[in-house]
Amino acid sequence: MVALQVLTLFKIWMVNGECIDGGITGAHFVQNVTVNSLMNLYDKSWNEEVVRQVFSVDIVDKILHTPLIAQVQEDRLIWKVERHGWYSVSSAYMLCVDELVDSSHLWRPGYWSGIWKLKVPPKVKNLVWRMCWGCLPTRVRLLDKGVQCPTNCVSCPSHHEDLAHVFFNCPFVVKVWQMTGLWGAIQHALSYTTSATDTIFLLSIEFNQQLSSTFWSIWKHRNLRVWDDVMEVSATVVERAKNLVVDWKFANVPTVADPIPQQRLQPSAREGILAAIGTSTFVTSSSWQHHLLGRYKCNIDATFSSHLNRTGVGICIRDSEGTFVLAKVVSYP
Amino acid sequence: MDVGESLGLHSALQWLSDMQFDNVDFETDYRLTCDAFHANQDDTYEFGCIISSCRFLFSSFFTNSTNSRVEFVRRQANGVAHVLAEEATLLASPVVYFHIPDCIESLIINEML
Repeated sequence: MVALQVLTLFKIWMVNGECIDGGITGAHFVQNVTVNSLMNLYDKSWNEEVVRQVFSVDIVDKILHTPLIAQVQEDRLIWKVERHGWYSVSSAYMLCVDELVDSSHLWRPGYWSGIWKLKVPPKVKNLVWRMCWGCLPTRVRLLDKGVQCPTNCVSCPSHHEDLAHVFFNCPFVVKVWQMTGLWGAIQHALSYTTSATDTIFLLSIEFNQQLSSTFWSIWKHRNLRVWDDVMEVSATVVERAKNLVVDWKFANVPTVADPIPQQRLQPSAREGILAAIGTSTFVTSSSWQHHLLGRYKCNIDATFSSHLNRTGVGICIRDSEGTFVLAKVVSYP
Repeated sequence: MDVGESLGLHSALQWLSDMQFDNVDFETDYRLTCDAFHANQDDTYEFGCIISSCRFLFSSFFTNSTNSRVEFVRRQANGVAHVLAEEATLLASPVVYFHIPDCIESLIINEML
Protein backbone atom coordinates (compact mmCIF):
# COMPACT_ATOMS: atom_id res chain seq x y z
CA MET A 1 0.00 0.00 0.00
CA VAL A 2 1.48 3.29 -1.05
CA ALA A 3 0.15 6.65 -0.12
CA LEU A 4 1.34 10.20 -0.40
CA GLN A 5 4.73 9.07 -1.61
CA VAL A 6 4.84 11.86 -4.14
CA LEU A 7 4.39 14.76 -1.77
CA THR A 8 7.16 16.19 0.32
CA LEU A 9 6.29 17.42 3.79
CA PHE A 10 5.95 21.09 2.94
CA LYS A 11 3.31 20.71 0.27
CA ILE A 12 -0.36 21.01 1.11
CA TRP A 13 -1.51 17.60 2.24
CA MET A 14 -2.98 17.82 5.70
CA VAL A 15 -6.61 17.97 6.70
CA ASN A 16 -8.42 21.21 5.73
CA GLY A 17 -5.75 21.97 3.13
CA GLU A 18 -3.12 22.97 5.66
CA CYS A 19 0.60 22.56 5.26
CA ILE A 20 3.66 22.54 7.47
CA ASP A 21 5.38 25.88 7.76
CA GLY A 22 8.76 25.69 6.02
CA GLY A 23 10.24 27.95 8.70
CA ILE A 24 10.03 25.48 11.60
CA THR A 25 13.26 24.62 13.34
CA GLY A 26 15.10 21.77 11.70
CA ALA A 27 13.15 22.19 8.49
CA HIS A 28 16.22 21.54 6.37
CA PHE A 29 16.58 18.04 7.85
CA VAL A 30 13.24 16.96 6.46
CA GLN A 31 13.33 18.96 3.23
CA ASN A 32 13.12 16.01 0.86
CA VAL A 33 11.24 13.63 3.11
CA THR A 34 8.00 12.41 1.62
CA VAL A 35 4.80 12.12 3.60
CA ASN A 36 4.67 8.35 3.46
CA SER A 37 7.83 8.08 5.54
CA LEU A 38 5.72 9.13 8.51
CA MET A 39 3.43 6.14 8.14
CA ASN A 40 3.35 2.52 9.08
CA LEU A 41 2.95 1.22 5.57
CA TYR A 42 1.83 -2.27 6.59
CA ASP A 43 -1.43 -1.03 8.04
CA LYS A 44 -1.48 2.47 6.67
CA SER A 45 -1.54 4.43 9.87
CA TRP A 46 0.55 7.30 11.18
CA ASN A 47 3.76 6.30 12.86
CA GLU A 48 2.96 8.31 15.93
CA GLU A 49 6.32 7.75 17.55
CA VAL A 50 8.24 9.21 14.63
CA VAL A 51 5.78 12.05 14.17
CA ARG A 52 6.07 13.05 17.82
CA GLN A 53 9.84 12.96 17.71
CA VAL A 54 10.12 15.17 14.67
CA PHE A 55 7.42 17.79 15.10
CA SER A 56 6.08 20.13 17.72
CA VAL A 57 2.80 19.40 19.46
CA ASP A 58 0.49 21.51 17.30
CA ILE A 59 1.84 20.02 14.07
CA VAL A 60 1.66 16.51 15.51
CA ASP A 61 -1.98 17.14 16.24
CA LYS A 62 -2.72 18.21 12.68
CA ILE A 63 -0.84 15.27 11.20
CA LEU A 64 -2.55 12.72 13.39
CA HIS A 65 -5.93 14.19 12.53
CA THR A 66 -5.36 13.78 8.82
CA PRO A 67 -7.28 10.63 7.92
CA LEU A 68 -5.62 7.80 6.06
CA ILE A 69 -8.05 5.77 4.01
CA ALA A 70 -7.15 2.16 3.48
CA GLN A 71 -9.09 1.84 0.23
CA VAL A 72 -7.09 4.53 -1.51
CA GLN A 73 -4.38 2.77 -3.46
CA GLU A 74 -2.87 5.64 -5.32
CA ASP A 75 -2.65 9.32 -4.60
CA ARG A 76 -4.12 11.84 -6.91
CA LEU A 77 -5.29 15.38 -6.78
CA ILE A 78 -9.02 15.72 -6.47
CA TRP A 79 -11.19 18.55 -7.73
CA LYS A 80 -13.71 18.71 -4.93
CA VAL A 81 -16.58 20.24 -6.87
CA GLU A 82 -17.04 17.29 -9.21
CA ARG A 83 -18.13 13.98 -7.80
CA HIS A 84 -15.61 12.09 -9.90
CA GLY A 85 -12.81 14.40 -8.82
CA TRP A 86 -11.59 15.53 -12.22
CA TYR A 87 -11.37 19.19 -13.08
CA SER A 88 -13.81 20.63 -15.59
CA VAL A 89 -14.26 24.17 -16.78
CA SER A 90 -18.02 24.09 -16.35
CA SER A 91 -17.80 23.10 -12.69
CA ALA A 92 -15.21 25.82 -12.09
CA TYR A 93 -17.57 28.30 -13.71
CA MET A 94 -20.44 27.15 -11.50
CA LEU A 95 -18.20 27.50 -8.47
CA CYS A 96 -17.31 31.05 -9.45
CA VAL A 97 -20.92 31.99 -10.03
CA ASP A 98 -22.12 30.36 -6.81
CA GLU A 99 -19.42 31.35 -4.40
CA LEU A 100 -17.24 34.12 -5.71
CA VAL A 101 -19.84 36.39 -7.27
CA ASP A 102 -22.49 37.69 -4.95
CA SER A 103 -25.77 37.08 -6.73
CA SER A 104 -28.03 37.46 -3.71
CA HIS A 105 -29.47 40.72 -4.98
CA LEU A 106 -30.86 38.81 -7.96
CA TRP A 107 -32.66 36.35 -5.77
CA ARG A 108 -36.41 36.74 -5.48
CA PRO A 109 -38.72 34.83 -3.19
CA GLY A 110 -41.22 32.51 -4.78
CA TYR A 111 -41.98 28.94 -5.68
CA TRP A 112 -39.64 28.94 -8.69
CA SER A 113 -39.03 25.23 -8.87
CA GLY A 114 -42.78 24.74 -9.14
CA ILE A 115 -42.69 26.43 -12.53
CA TRP A 116 -40.12 24.05 -13.92
CA LYS A 117 -41.97 21.06 -12.54
CA LEU A 118 -45.11 21.89 -14.52
CA LYS A 119 -46.10 19.18 -16.93
CA VAL A 120 -46.41 21.45 -19.93
CA PRO A 121 -44.29 22.20 -23.02
CA PRO A 122 -41.11 24.20 -22.30
CA LYS A 123 -42.45 27.27 -24.08
CA VAL A 124 -45.25 27.48 -21.53
CA LYS A 125 -42.87 27.12 -18.60
CA ASN A 126 -40.73 29.83 -20.10
CA LEU A 127 -43.71 32.13 -20.39
CA VAL A 128 -44.78 31.54 -16.80
CA TRP A 129 -41.23 32.15 -15.65
CA ARG A 130 -41.07 35.43 -17.58
CA MET A 131 -44.41 36.46 -16.07
CA CYS A 132 -43.19 35.78 -12.54
CA TRP A 133 -39.90 37.51 -13.21
CA GLY A 134 -41.79 40.51 -14.53
CA CYS A 135 -39.92 40.61 -17.81
CA LEU A 136 -42.76 39.89 -20.19
CA PRO A 137 -42.77 42.71 -22.78
CA THR A 138 -46.19 44.16 -22.10
CA ARG A 139 -46.62 47.67 -23.46
CA VAL A 140 -46.25 49.34 -20.07
CA ARG A 141 -43.07 47.40 -19.53
CA LEU A 142 -41.76 48.34 -22.98
CA LEU A 143 -42.38 52.00 -22.28
CA ASP A 144 -40.39 51.63 -19.03
CA LYS A 145 -37.48 50.49 -21.13
CA GLY A 146 -37.75 53.44 -23.47
CA VAL A 147 -39.57 51.78 -26.35
CA GLN A 148 -41.96 54.19 -28.00
CA CYS A 149 -45.30 52.42 -28.31
CA PRO A 150 -48.93 52.94 -27.42
CA THR A 151 -49.98 51.62 -24.01
CA ASN A 152 -53.54 50.69 -24.78
CA CYS A 153 -54.80 47.14 -24.45
CA VAL A 154 -55.47 45.38 -27.73
CA SER A 155 -58.71 43.79 -26.60
CA CYS A 156 -60.40 46.54 -24.61
CA PRO A 157 -60.46 50.33 -24.30
CA SER A 158 -58.08 50.35 -21.32
CA HIS A 159 -54.92 52.41 -21.70
CA HIS A 160 -52.74 50.50 -19.36
CA GLU A 161 -51.52 47.16 -20.73
CA ASP A 162 -49.46 45.73 -17.89
CA LEU A 163 -49.05 42.17 -16.58
CA ALA A 164 -52.10 42.30 -14.31
CA HIS A 165 -54.26 43.72 -17.07
CA VAL A 166 -53.19 41.24 -19.78
CA PHE A 167 -53.78 38.18 -17.64
CA PHE A 168 -56.38 39.11 -15.03
CA ASN A 169 -58.15 42.44 -15.45
CA CYS A 170 -59.03 42.75 -19.12
CA PRO A 171 -62.74 41.93 -19.66
CA PHE A 172 -61.82 39.66 -22.57
CA VAL A 173 -59.51 37.62 -20.35
CA VAL A 174 -62.08 37.43 -17.58
CA LYS A 175 -64.41 35.84 -20.11
CA VAL A 176 -61.68 33.33 -21.01
CA TRP A 177 -61.14 32.40 -17.38
CA GLN A 178 -64.86 32.07 -16.83
CA MET A 179 -65.09 29.65 -19.73
CA THR A 180 -62.28 27.52 -18.33
CA GLY A 181 -63.90 27.47 -14.92
CA LEU A 182 -60.79 28.85 -13.25
CA TRP A 183 -62.11 32.36 -12.61
CA GLY A 184 -63.16 31.53 -9.07
CA ALA A 185 -59.68 30.40 -8.12
CA ILE A 186 -58.12 33.46 -9.70
CA GLN A 187 -60.49 35.87 -7.97
CA HIS A 188 -59.67 34.14 -4.74
CA ALA A 189 -55.93 34.61 -5.34
CA LEU A 190 -56.44 38.22 -6.40
CA SER A 191 -58.24 38.99 -3.16
CA TYR A 192 -55.06 38.21 -1.22
CA THR A 193 -52.66 40.41 -3.11
CA THR A 194 -52.59 43.24 -5.57
CA SER A 195 -49.39 42.27 -7.33
CA ALA A 196 -49.82 40.19 -10.46
CA THR A 197 -46.58 38.32 -9.81
CA ASP A 198 -47.70 37.32 -6.32
CA THR A 199 -51.00 36.17 -7.75
CA ILE A 200 -49.23 33.93 -10.20
CA PHE A 201 -47.17 32.45 -7.38
CA LEU A 202 -50.25 31.99 -5.22
CA LEU A 203 -51.87 30.13 -8.06
CA SER A 204 -48.63 28.25 -8.59
CA ILE A 205 -49.36 26.18 -5.50
CA GLU A 206 -52.04 24.56 -7.55
CA PHE A 207 -50.43 25.35 -10.87
CA ASN A 208 -51.59 22.86 -13.35
CA GLN A 209 -51.56 22.23 -17.03
CA GLN A 210 -54.81 24.00 -17.74
CA LEU A 211 -53.90 27.19 -15.92
CA SER A 212 -50.44 27.63 -17.38
CA SER A 213 -51.44 26.70 -20.90
CA THR A 214 -54.28 29.23 -20.70
CA PHE A 215 -51.72 31.88 -19.75
CA TRP A 216 -49.81 30.89 -22.83
CA SER A 217 -52.89 30.98 -25.02
CA ILE A 218 -53.85 34.44 -23.76
CA TRP A 219 -50.41 35.78 -24.54
CA LYS A 220 -50.58 34.13 -27.95
CA HIS A 221 -53.90 35.84 -28.56
CA ARG A 222 -52.43 39.20 -27.60
CA ASN A 223 -49.43 38.74 -29.91
CA LEU A 224 -51.55 37.60 -32.83
CA ARG A 225 -53.63 40.72 -32.40
CA VAL A 226 -50.63 43.03 -32.21
CA TRP A 227 -48.46 41.57 -34.93
CA ASP A 228 -50.76 39.77 -37.36
CA ASP A 229 -53.92 41.73 -36.74
CA VAL A 230 -55.82 38.52 -36.07
CA MET A 231 -59.04 38.84 -34.09
CA GLU A 232 -59.99 35.87 -31.95
CA VAL A 233 -62.99 35.11 -29.80
CA SER A 234 -62.50 33.89 -26.25
CA ALA A 235 -63.63 30.38 -27.16
CA THR A 236 -60.67 30.09 -29.55
CA VAL A 237 -58.28 31.01 -26.77
CA VAL A 238 -59.75 28.38 -24.46
CA GLU A 239 -59.76 25.79 -27.21
CA ARG A 240 -56.09 26.42 -28.08
CA ALA A 241 -55.05 25.98 -24.45
CA LYS A 242 -56.98 22.73 -24.28
CA ASN A 243 -55.48 21.40 -27.51
CA LEU A 244 -52.00 22.28 -26.37
CA VAL A 245 -52.39 20.08 -23.31
CA VAL A 246 -54.00 17.24 -25.26
CA ASP A 247 -51.31 17.26 -27.96
CA TRP A 248 -48.54 17.45 -25.45
CA LYS A 249 -49.92 14.56 -23.42
CA PHE A 250 -50.31 12.51 -26.57
CA ALA A 251 -46.73 13.18 -27.66
CA ASN A 252 -45.44 12.16 -24.25
CA VAL A 253 -47.09 8.77 -23.99
CA PRO A 254 -44.26 6.39 -23.11
CA THR A 255 -43.49 4.00 -25.93
CA VAL A 256 -41.97 0.54 -25.51
CA ALA A 257 -38.48 0.52 -26.96
CA ASP A 258 -38.09 -1.97 -29.79
CA PRO A 259 -34.61 -3.46 -29.63
CA ILE A 260 -34.86 -5.59 -32.77
CA PRO A 261 -35.72 -4.00 -36.11
CA GLN A 262 -39.03 -5.51 -37.04
CA GLN A 263 -38.42 -5.94 -40.76
CA ARG A 264 -35.62 -8.44 -40.10
CA LEU A 265 -37.86 -10.79 -38.18
CA GLN A 266 -40.09 -13.51 -39.44
CA PRO A 267 -43.73 -12.81 -38.64
CA SER A 268 -43.87 -15.64 -36.11
CA ALA A 269 -40.80 -14.36 -34.28
CA ARG A 270 -42.27 -10.89 -34.15
CA GLU A 271 -45.42 -12.27 -32.63
CA GLY A 272 -43.32 -14.07 -30.04
CA ILE A 273 -41.57 -10.87 -29.09
CA LEU A 274 -44.79 -8.94 -28.91
CA ALA A 275 -46.21 -11.64 -26.68
CA ALA A 276 -43.13 -11.38 -24.51
CA ILE A 277 -43.62 -7.64 -24.23
CA GLY A 278 -47.24 -8.24 -23.36
CA THR A 279 -46.37 -10.47 -20.44
CA SER A 280 -43.73 -8.04 -19.27
CA THR A 281 -40.88 -10.54 -19.26
CA PHE A 282 -39.15 -7.97 -21.40
CA VAL A 283 -35.87 -6.16 -20.61
CA THR A 284 -36.03 -6.62 -16.84
CA SER A 285 -38.63 -8.95 -15.56
CA SER A 286 -40.78 -7.85 -12.70
CA SER A 287 -40.98 -11.24 -11.07
CA TRP A 288 -38.23 -13.49 -9.83
CA GLN A 289 -36.81 -15.63 -12.63
CA HIS A 290 -35.44 -19.14 -12.39
CA HIS A 291 -31.96 -19.62 -13.63
CA LEU A 292 -29.79 -21.93 -15.66
CA LEU A 293 -28.57 -25.16 -14.10
CA GLY A 294 -25.54 -25.03 -11.86
CA ARG A 295 -25.85 -21.35 -11.19
CA TYR A 296 -26.58 -19.51 -8.03
CA LYS A 297 -28.65 -16.43 -7.65
CA CYS A 298 -27.88 -13.95 -4.95
CA ASN A 299 -30.46 -11.29 -4.19
CA ILE A 300 -29.32 -8.25 -2.28
CA ASP A 301 -31.25 -5.41 -0.76
CA ALA A 302 -30.79 -2.72 1.87
CA THR A 303 -33.32 -0.87 3.99
CA PHE A 304 -33.02 2.09 6.29
CA SER A 305 -34.73 2.51 9.56
CA SER A 306 -34.78 6.17 10.49
CA HIS A 307 -36.02 5.72 14.04
CA LEU A 308 -33.41 3.06 14.82
CA ASN A 309 -30.86 4.89 12.69
CA ARG A 310 -29.67 1.66 11.16
CA THR A 311 -29.08 0.21 7.75
CA GLY A 312 -30.07 -3.38 7.23
CA VAL A 313 -28.74 -5.58 4.46
CA GLY A 314 -30.39 -8.80 3.35
CA ILE A 315 -28.68 -11.39 1.19
CA CYS A 316 -30.34 -14.55 -0.08
CA ILE A 317 -28.70 -17.29 -2.14
CA ARG A 318 -30.80 -19.71 -4.13
CA ASP A 319 -29.88 -22.38 -6.64
CA SER A 320 -31.07 -22.76 -10.20
CA GLU A 321 -34.35 -24.34 -9.09
CA GLY A 322 -35.08 -21.50 -6.73
CA THR A 323 -34.42 -23.64 -3.68
CA PHE A 324 -33.14 -21.85 -0.65
CA VAL A 325 -29.39 -22.32 -0.08
CA LEU A 326 -28.26 -19.72 2.42
CA ALA A 327 -29.27 -16.31 3.67
CA LYS A 328 -27.55 -13.69 5.70
CA VAL A 329 -28.60 -10.49 7.36
CA VAL A 330 -26.18 -7.76 8.38
CA SER A 331 -26.89 -4.41 9.95
CA TYR A 332 -24.88 -1.22 10.16
CA PRO A 333 -23.64 0.42 12.22
CA MET B 1 -29.00 5.72 0.76
CA ASP B 2 -26.67 4.73 -2.09
CA VAL B 3 -23.95 3.98 0.42
CA GLY B 4 -26.23 1.49 2.16
CA GLU B 5 -27.11 -0.27 -1.07
CA SER B 6 -23.49 -0.47 -2.14
CA LEU B 7 -22.57 -1.83 1.30
CA GLY B 8 -25.12 -4.55 0.66
CA LEU B 9 -23.40 -5.57 -2.55
CA HIS B 10 -20.05 -5.37 -0.83
CA SER B 11 -21.01 -7.65 2.04
CA ALA B 12 -22.61 -10.11 -0.38
CA LEU B 13 -19.48 -10.23 -2.52
CA GLN B 14 -17.35 -10.66 0.56
CA TRP B 15 -19.46 -13.41 2.01
CA LEU B 16 -19.80 -15.43 -1.18
CA SER B 17 -16.15 -15.15 -2.04
CA ASP B 18 -15.26 -16.31 1.48
CA MET B 19 -17.40 -19.36 0.83
CA GLN B 20 -15.78 -19.94 -2.56
CA PHE B 21 -19.01 -19.71 -4.51
CA ASP B 22 -18.82 -19.35 -8.24
CA ASN B 23 -21.33 -18.93 -11.07
CA VAL B 24 -23.33 -16.44 -9.11
CA ASP B 25 -25.73 -13.83 -10.36
CA PHE B 26 -25.86 -10.96 -7.94
CA GLU B 27 -29.08 -9.06 -8.14
CA THR B 28 -29.77 -5.67 -6.67
CA ASP B 29 -32.84 -3.49 -7.13
CA TYR B 30 -30.84 -0.31 -6.77
CA ARG B 31 -30.00 1.04 -10.19
CA LEU B 32 -27.20 3.37 -9.08
CA THR B 33 -25.18 0.60 -7.47
CA CYS B 34 -25.45 -1.57 -10.54
CA ASP B 35 -24.61 1.23 -12.95
CA ALA B 36 -21.69 2.43 -10.86
CA PHE B 37 -20.35 -1.10 -10.64
CA HIS B 38 -20.26 -1.39 -14.42
CA ALA B 39 -19.01 2.13 -15.04
CA ASN B 40 -15.30 2.73 -15.34
CA GLN B 41 -15.12 5.96 -13.40
CA ASP B 42 -15.64 6.33 -9.68
CA ASP B 43 -16.62 9.30 -7.68
CA THR B 44 -14.31 10.35 -4.91
CA TYR B 45 -16.72 9.90 -2.05
CA GLU B 46 -17.61 6.96 0.14
CA PHE B 47 -19.87 5.47 -2.48
CA GLY B 48 -17.11 5.40 -5.09
CA CYS B 49 -14.71 3.77 -2.65
CA ILE B 50 -17.17 1.02 -1.79
CA ILE B 51 -17.97 0.41 -5.42
CA SER B 52 -14.34 0.19 -6.45
CA SER B 53 -13.76 -2.15 -3.54
CA CYS B 54 -16.71 -4.25 -4.80
CA ARG B 55 -15.16 -4.37 -8.23
CA PHE B 56 -11.85 -5.42 -6.76
CA LEU B 57 -13.50 -8.24 -4.78
CA PHE B 58 -15.45 -9.34 -7.78
CA SER B 59 -12.51 -9.51 -10.15
CA SER B 60 -10.20 -11.22 -7.69
CA PHE B 61 -12.50 -13.90 -6.35
CA PHE B 62 -14.88 -14.61 -9.14
CA THR B 63 -12.13 -15.44 -11.57
CA ASN B 64 -14.52 -16.68 -14.19
CA SER B 65 -15.99 -13.26 -14.25
CA THR B 66 -17.92 -14.20 -17.35
CA ASN B 67 -19.78 -16.70 -15.18
CA SER B 68 -20.74 -14.32 -12.43
CA ARG B 69 -22.63 -11.12 -12.91
CA VAL B 70 -23.97 -8.14 -11.10
CA GLU B 71 -27.40 -7.30 -12.41
CA PHE B 72 -30.29 -4.98 -11.86
CA VAL B 73 -33.73 -6.42 -11.10
CA ARG B 74 -36.99 -4.75 -10.42
CA ARG B 75 -37.98 -4.33 -6.83
CA GLN B 76 -40.84 -6.79 -7.20
CA ALA B 77 -38.35 -9.49 -8.16
CA ASN B 78 -36.19 -8.76 -5.14
CA GLY B 79 -38.80 -9.26 -2.44
CA VAL B 80 -36.93 -11.92 -0.51
CA ALA B 81 -33.86 -9.76 -0.03
CA HIS B 82 -36.06 -6.84 0.93
CA VAL B 83 -37.79 -8.76 3.71
CA LEU B 84 -34.42 -9.98 4.98
CA ALA B 85 -33.03 -6.47 4.99
CA GLU B 86 -35.96 -5.28 7.09
CA GLU B 87 -35.31 -8.13 9.46
CA ALA B 88 -31.67 -7.05 9.64
CA THR B 89 -32.46 -3.62 11.07
CA LEU B 90 -33.98 -5.33 14.09
CA LEU B 91 -30.97 -7.53 14.77
CA ALA B 92 -27.85 -6.41 16.54
CA SER B 93 -25.37 -8.79 14.94
CA PRO B 94 -25.10 -10.54 11.58
CA VAL B 95 -27.00 -13.79 11.28
CA VAL B 96 -26.53 -16.57 8.75
CA TYR B 97 -29.54 -18.76 8.07
CA PHE B 98 -28.93 -22.35 7.04
CA HIS B 99 -32.64 -23.08 6.88
CA ILE B 100 -35.33 -20.93 5.42
CA PRO B 101 -36.21 -18.24 7.96
CA ASP B 102 -39.95 -17.92 8.63
CA CYS B 103 -40.20 -14.42 7.28
CA ILE B 104 -39.34 -15.41 3.71
CA GLU B 105 -40.64 -18.95 3.61
CA SER B 106 -43.83 -18.23 1.73
CA LEU B 107 -42.08 -15.87 -0.68
CA ILE B 108 -39.47 -18.48 -1.55
CA ILE B 109 -42.10 -21.14 -2.13
CA ASN B 110 -44.13 -18.79 -4.27
CA GLU B 111 -41.16 -17.94 -6.41
CA MET B 112 -40.27 -21.60 -6.91
CA LEU B 113 -43.56 -22.23 -8.67
